[in-house]
Amino acid sequence: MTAPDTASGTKLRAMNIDFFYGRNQALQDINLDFPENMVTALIGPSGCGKSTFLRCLNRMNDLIPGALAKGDIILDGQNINTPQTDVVSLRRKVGMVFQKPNPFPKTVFENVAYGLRVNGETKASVIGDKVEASLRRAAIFDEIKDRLHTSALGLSGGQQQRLCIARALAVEPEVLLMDEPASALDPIATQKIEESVRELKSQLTIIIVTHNMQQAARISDRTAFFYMGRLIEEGVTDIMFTRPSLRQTEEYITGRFG
Amino acid sequence: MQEKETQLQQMLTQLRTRVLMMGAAVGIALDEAFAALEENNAIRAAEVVDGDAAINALENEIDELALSLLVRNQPVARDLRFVVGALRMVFDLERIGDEAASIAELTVTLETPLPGEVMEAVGLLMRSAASLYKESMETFRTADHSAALRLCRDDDEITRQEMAALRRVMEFFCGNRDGQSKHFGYEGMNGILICRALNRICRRCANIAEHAYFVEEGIDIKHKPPEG
Ligand SMILES: Nc1ncnc2c1ncn2[C@@H]1O[C@H](COP(=O)(O)OP(=O)(O)O)[C@@H](O)[C@H]1O
Ligand SMILES: [Mg+2]
Repeated sequence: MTAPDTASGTKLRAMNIDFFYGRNQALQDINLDFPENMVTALIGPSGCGKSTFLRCLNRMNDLIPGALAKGDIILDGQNINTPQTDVVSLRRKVGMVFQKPNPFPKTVFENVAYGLRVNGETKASVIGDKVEASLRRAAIFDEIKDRLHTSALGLSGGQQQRLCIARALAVEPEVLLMDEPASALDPIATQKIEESVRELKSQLTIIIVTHNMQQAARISDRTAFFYMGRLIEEGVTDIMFTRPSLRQTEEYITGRFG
Repeated sequence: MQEKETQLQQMLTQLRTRVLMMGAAVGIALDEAFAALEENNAIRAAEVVDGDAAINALENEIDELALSLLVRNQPVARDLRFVVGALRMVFDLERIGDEAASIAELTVTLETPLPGEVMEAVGLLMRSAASLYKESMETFRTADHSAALRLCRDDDEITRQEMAALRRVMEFFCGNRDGQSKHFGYEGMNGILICRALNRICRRCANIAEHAYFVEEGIDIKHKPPEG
C-alpha cells in the first residue's frame, strides 16, 4: 500500500463535532485526524454533511444564521473552535476552493494579488513575485502569462478554477479545503486540477470533497466515508477501495446505494 | 438498494457465469481424461485432446470480458477483487485443462495399459486431484473462505501420494536395485509424466483456492507461511 498510516504528524484534528442548522443536526460526533502533507478525500452521498464538515474546519459556517458547531477543531495543537479565535487569520491558514469557480470580476493578476493586499502587503515587487509563484503552483502560469491583465472572467472554467486555487495559495495557507473542485470541469481540466493537488501536498495538507469515487482513489492518501451526518469509516485510500471493513462503505463505493 | 441491475452488476454476473462455465468444462475434461486413462480408452482420450481448444477459447472470452468490465466500470472493493480473482482463476483453469489434455495424449500413446499395481497408485493420486479440483471450484462458487484457506494449506498428502505412485512406476519398470532391470520403455516414462501432470493439477487447485480466498478477504496468501 502506498500511503503510510500516519508517518507525519497530525496537522488538523476534528474532535466530537456536532453541527446544527437551527434544530436540524447535520453532523453527529465526528472524530477525524488529518495528517500533515496528505490528501484526505471526504466521500458520501449528497446531503451527508461533507460540505458542512469542510466548512467547520475554517469556521466558514459561522456566517450562516442559526448555525451551531460543537466540539474541538485542533489546528497545530490549538483549538480553533473558540470565540477567541481570530477567524481572519484562521482562514488565511486554512484556505478554501469551492465547487464553482468564483473569480472576482477583476484582472487575473488582481484576483491573486487581492488576498495579499488584504493581508497588508504593499510592495509591488513582492506582490508581483507572489502572484507569479502562486499561479505556477496552481499549474496555470504558462497558460495565461500573456493574459495577466485581462479579465479573469474571460478564462475557461478549468482555468478559472486553477486561478481560484492560485488565489487561495497566494496567502500561503497550510491547509487547503476543496469542495468538489472539479465537478463542473471537463476531463482535461479535471486532470490538471488533480495534478496540482498531487504536487501541492508536499507543501500543504489537503482535504477534498468529491463525489467521484475514481477521483478519490486517484488523488487521496486517506479516504473518509460519511453517511447521514456520521463518519462511517476512514482509512488508507488503497485499503478503503480494495477491502473496506464495513458493508455500508462497500455498498456505497461499489454503487449499490446512494 | 437499486431496483434495476446496473451495467456493472450485469457484467459481474456474466463474468461469474463464464468462469463457472469454464470451470465446469475443465472439470469434465479432467473426469474424461482420468476415465480414459483407467480404461485405456484412446478414443475417449482423443476427445479430451480435441476439447482443449474450447477451453482455450473460453479463456480468451473471459479475458476480454474482464478487461471490458475494468475499462467501463472501474470497479472497487469486492467487485475489483472479483475481477482480479477471475483473471487469476482462468489462467489456472486453462493450465489444468492443458494438463488434462496432456494426460489424454499420454493415454493415446500407451501401447499397453498401465499395469494394475501402477494404476492403483496412480489412481489414488488421480482421485485426489479430481476431488481437490471439485472442492477448490466449490470454494470459489460458494465464497467459502475458510474452506479455501484449508485447501491451499493442505498439500503434504499430495506429495506423499505422488511419491508412492512414482515408486510403483520405478519398481515395476526398473525392477529392484539388486534384481534384473526390466525394460524401461515408453510405459515407464508415460507413468512418470502422468504422475507429474497430476501433481501439477493439485498445485493449481491450491491456486484456485487462493484466488477464492483473495476475492473474499482481499488478502493474498500466496507464498505466505501459515499463521501460527
Ligand atoms: N445553509 C444551510 N441551511 C440549512 N441546512 C443546510 C444548509 N446547508 C446544508 N444544509 C443541510 O445539511 C445537510 C448536509 O448538507 P451538506 O453539508 O451540504 O452535504 P453534502 O456536502 O454532503 O452534500 C443536508 O441535509 C442539507 O440540506
Ligand atoms: Mg457538498
